[in-house]
Amino acid sequence: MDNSTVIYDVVIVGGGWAGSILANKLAQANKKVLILEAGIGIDGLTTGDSNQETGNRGEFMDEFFMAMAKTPESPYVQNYNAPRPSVLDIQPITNPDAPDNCGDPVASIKSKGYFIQKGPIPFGSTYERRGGGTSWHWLGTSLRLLPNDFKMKSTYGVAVDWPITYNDLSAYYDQAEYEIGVSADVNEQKIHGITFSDGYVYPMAKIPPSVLDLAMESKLAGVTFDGCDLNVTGTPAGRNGVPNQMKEGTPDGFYPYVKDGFYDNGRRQCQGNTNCTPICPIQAKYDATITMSKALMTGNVDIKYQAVASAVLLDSANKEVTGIEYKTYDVVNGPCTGTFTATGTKYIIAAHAIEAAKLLLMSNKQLLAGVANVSGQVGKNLMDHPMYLGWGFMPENSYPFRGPLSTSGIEGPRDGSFRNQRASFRIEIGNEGWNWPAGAPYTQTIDMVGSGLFGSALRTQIQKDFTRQFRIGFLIEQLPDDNCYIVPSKTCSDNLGIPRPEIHYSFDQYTQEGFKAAAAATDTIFNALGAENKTGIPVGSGGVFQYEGVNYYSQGAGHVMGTHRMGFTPADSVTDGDMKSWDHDNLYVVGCGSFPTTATANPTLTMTALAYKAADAILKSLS
Amino acid sequence: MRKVNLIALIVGLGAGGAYISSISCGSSPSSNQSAVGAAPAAAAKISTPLSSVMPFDADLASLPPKPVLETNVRRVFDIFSWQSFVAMCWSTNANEVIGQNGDNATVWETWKKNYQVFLDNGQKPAPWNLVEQSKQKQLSQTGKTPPDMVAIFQPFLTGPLIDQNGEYTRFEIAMDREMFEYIDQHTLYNIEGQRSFKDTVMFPEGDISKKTLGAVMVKGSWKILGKNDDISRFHKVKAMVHIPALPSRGIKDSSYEVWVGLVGLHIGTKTNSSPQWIWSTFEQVDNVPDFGKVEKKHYNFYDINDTTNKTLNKAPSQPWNPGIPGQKPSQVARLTPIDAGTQALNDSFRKLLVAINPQSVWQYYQLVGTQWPVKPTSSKTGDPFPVYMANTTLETYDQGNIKNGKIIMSPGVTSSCIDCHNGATTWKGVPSDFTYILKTAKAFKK
Amino acid sequence: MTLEEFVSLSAALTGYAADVLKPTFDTQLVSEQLYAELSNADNKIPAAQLDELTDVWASIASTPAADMENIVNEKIMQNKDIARLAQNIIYMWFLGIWYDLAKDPSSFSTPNNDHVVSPIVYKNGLVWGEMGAHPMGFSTGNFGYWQIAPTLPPIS
Repeated sequence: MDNSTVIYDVVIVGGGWAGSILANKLAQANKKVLILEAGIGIDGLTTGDSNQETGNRGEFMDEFFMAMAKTPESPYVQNYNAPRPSVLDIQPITNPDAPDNCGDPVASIKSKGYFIQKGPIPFGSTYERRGGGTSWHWLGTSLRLLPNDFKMKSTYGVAVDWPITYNDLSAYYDQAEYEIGVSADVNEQKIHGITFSDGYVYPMAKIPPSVLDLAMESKLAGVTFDGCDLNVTGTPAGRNGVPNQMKEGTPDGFYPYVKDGFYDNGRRQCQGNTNCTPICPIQAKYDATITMSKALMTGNVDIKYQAVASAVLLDSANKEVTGIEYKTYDVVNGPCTGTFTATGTKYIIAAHAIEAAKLLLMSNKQLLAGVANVSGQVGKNLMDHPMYLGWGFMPENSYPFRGPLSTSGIEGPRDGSFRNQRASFRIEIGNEGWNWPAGAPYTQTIDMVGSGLFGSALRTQIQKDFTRQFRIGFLIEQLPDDNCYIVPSKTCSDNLGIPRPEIHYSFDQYTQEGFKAAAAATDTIFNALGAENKTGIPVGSGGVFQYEGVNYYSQGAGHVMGTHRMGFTPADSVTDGDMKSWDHDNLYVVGCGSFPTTATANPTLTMTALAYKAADAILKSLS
Repeated sequence: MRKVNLIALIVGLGAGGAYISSISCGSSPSSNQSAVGAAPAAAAKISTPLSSVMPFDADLASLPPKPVLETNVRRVFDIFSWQSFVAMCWSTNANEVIGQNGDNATVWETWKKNYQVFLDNGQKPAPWNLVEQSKQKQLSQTGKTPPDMVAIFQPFLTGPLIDQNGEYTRFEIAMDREMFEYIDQHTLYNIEGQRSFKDTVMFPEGDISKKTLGAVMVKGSWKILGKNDDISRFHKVKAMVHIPALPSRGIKDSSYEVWVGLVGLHIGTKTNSSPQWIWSTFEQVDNVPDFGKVEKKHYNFYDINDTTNKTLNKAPSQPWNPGIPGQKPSQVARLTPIDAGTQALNDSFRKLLVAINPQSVWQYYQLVGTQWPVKPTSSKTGDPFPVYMANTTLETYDQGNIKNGKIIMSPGVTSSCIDCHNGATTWKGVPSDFTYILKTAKAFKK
Repeated sequence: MTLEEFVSLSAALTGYAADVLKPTFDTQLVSEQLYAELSNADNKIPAAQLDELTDVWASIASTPAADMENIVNEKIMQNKDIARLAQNIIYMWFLGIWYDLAKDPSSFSTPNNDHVVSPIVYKNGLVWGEMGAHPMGFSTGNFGYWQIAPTLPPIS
């Protein structure tokens, strides 16, 4: 486990999405890279003579098939040496001051979950810690942010602006869309001021809409809410569709997978398994292991799995990072087998918004406030797209449980003058019936059988009800807020003795007003559709809160943002617009934690674009 | 002109007595060989019930009343597989019976290679011409000759297969005349042709009543013959193998000529009984042990001295490049044992091959299994059986997993020919009739 | 209860013909796996219940098809002693799950013996095809199939 023979240009903490993108970009430029990944490896993504445990899609699918609750985490077995939260852990926080009672880490994580939730609202989002990271269960949505999303302060007088604009990121969006392999239609995506370079085409044509999408599209045409149109449009998706002929002059190999002017990444087209989350069985959906594999194939990247970063080490002047201290384990859930230090010229923390902030704050031996934290912003501004779900019966059969989990959305409400007062949102149209809000098809089948139905009557009822189920989900904007933050727990640790994240979380009035508007928009939409509204208490009801006397049930979107935000000055932010730490010259912190504001688009595409931007800056600094 | 050739194939069925199948076949229009029964004098000296004639389809008419899926029906398809294998591996010399001289140049290696159909410039491929095609196969020149065996990765980049000598297994794809002519006639050999193709891709099907041969595609896996390999147990050819560049390790793009031995052969045949194709897969007998049943012998892809089995059926470490010296061999076991009935049929054919020549290399090949659609019209995939099937040299890392000492298979992920090929599409994004090869087409260039 | 009895009872409970549940050329072997759950010791099925269900079914198995559902309703589904066991057979066929007899199937109380019978059984759960869909995580559809309404299976 001694890396002293290799001089690494860059050490990356985290073998997930951002880590893979960065490693590949740097390795293609012939830089030597070491990746430290806390969780298990993936078959085919190992380097050196690793004898550690690896997993593969077949094993994960087996776990999924056998799981009683098919949650986003269900395919991925908990690893108490690099634990992760689960949606099953989310409970209302009734007594935040009660002792944490976490002396036995495994028992404590098993019973109450990995997070130490201090509330008042439980943080509802989760992630994965293993090779490929959370990309294993992302949905695939690859929307660009809107130009106004980058300047909330200057346009609407709320929150902060990003230190970069849409135009700064536009070319990086192109790169991200090529690497992920996004299927979408350019003309349909030109909304709210989004622009594309001349002649730009997405790598693949838009994914066809579902029966439900088509029904909603026709009934919602011309309907508005709060001044926003409710047009249904195709959602750009990182899943394989029909290859496009690229814009003229696109050279071979300039982007990955472009050959003879056509795009093809060699993987299968989507077969509509309706399982993007928790796992695509055929890898028609992009995940970070694809980019990681390319990075490793260059021979310029070494990856260490089961290597949990425990401290970022600084020189005596606290100016530069000198190494990453990490703990290893040979067996999942087994004991710590050693503490080592990885060294390189540059360092990147790409370890997920919560884990990255936790690591920086844990690294407090030299600087009491932690590494990269002169601003005091590390761990602060924890944000998500808290989701409001509405569900009901369509007036005619719309045939859910077919196609990708979501193929269309309603993007009109993502921007408007109301954003000076309340959260905006986008509306995702689900193709999986009431699976998320109401446990379909299990709960309803049990209800039918329990009420005495069997035989042909049961079959008739299934055909009648399940073919009309539908749900919509509102991804609600959240603003940076001092009351929302993560710190390393002082009392609770994981099986390696590393502190667990203690989370403080709530919704400000801006977001709560967003929920209120979402509920109102649900009424507008259901009325226009002629749908029977069955919205009630969802299966996951832990995120309940009351606003103006009404109960709202928030769900996590899995979009964890803000904990190491970019900004304009060392006083207001953790990094600059290149994601370089203001405080330490050779340290970069990259991921959704870099977002100063959440906007409403699922963040992955933007994170990928940011990773490319950071990679460019790092390459420049190395040359 | 079709000659009827009656073969009485007598196959021991253990205690069950003898099984006799009468199969009427016509001589293959795609092959310029004569059927054995009508072979010239030189071959007549050797008497064998084996035939150089490709079967049209599985002979379902030979099934007994109330057939059992796992035994009777499987056997009909397994016999189809063996007959196909024998005919395809028959000598290119019309006067020579399969294995008569130990090894022989084979018919299938004269078929069109993938790269001969899907040209880099997207132009129309040369017409079917066995003489030309076999010339190109006999790669003896160096220089600008394109390397035969470029492919080193298994499907969807699951990884390379490294033999006990640290050498990468190479893969090649070929197709019969029916398949080639369909691609050629419908201009499916380039991207533009596929994108403007308005019909549904439907390759010709083999049909016993019409006496037509179906589209056949073949995927072969080859190991470089070296230390500890008993070359008398392999079908061998001299081939150009390719090493791609890996600048970080100082490896330059290069090709070299070397003797390679056949270790695996997939045969996919489109037929009337099986519009989802019949999937036959063969392996060299020394490849790997069955999981948990290691014998004291030399395996091609298993080290009996590695008792930890830490890397069993795991893809090798990165970076993957055949030019890196001293790479750790793959450690592979077969997770689905060969069916007992299939094994009995293997024994029968082995006897027939040995009877031709005790030194026949073909006796060292075994049918691993045949997958076919049990109810072809019931669904798109037609209810394939057996549910899972893998060739340890071609789907090495998708055979299933071992969890707590038990083998687990995962629907949709664990190797199943039909389930996976069901997802194959053209450059237009529409179904390609269960073949991925159309996606290897390039754009047209003047 | 024999396997044959189990399949014929299952046909009456699910509304699917016995030769659909256990086809002649059976590649999936679902009925065998579900039948094995009846003798799975972990399921703690009271012997008296299984015996009674077996006996009741034997006594009504030859009922003409037109009367079958009424009789099954009266003799099994309205019989408190065996209704839940019969319901569990329905859950297995439609959802692929054995629900612990000692608790309400919709309750998550732990510990419990709720379990998916096997990946193959999950994949063959009848509820998915009934609604014109496929089990989540296992589709054999063509790209884009989801734009077109499916045909639902006929109910006799």
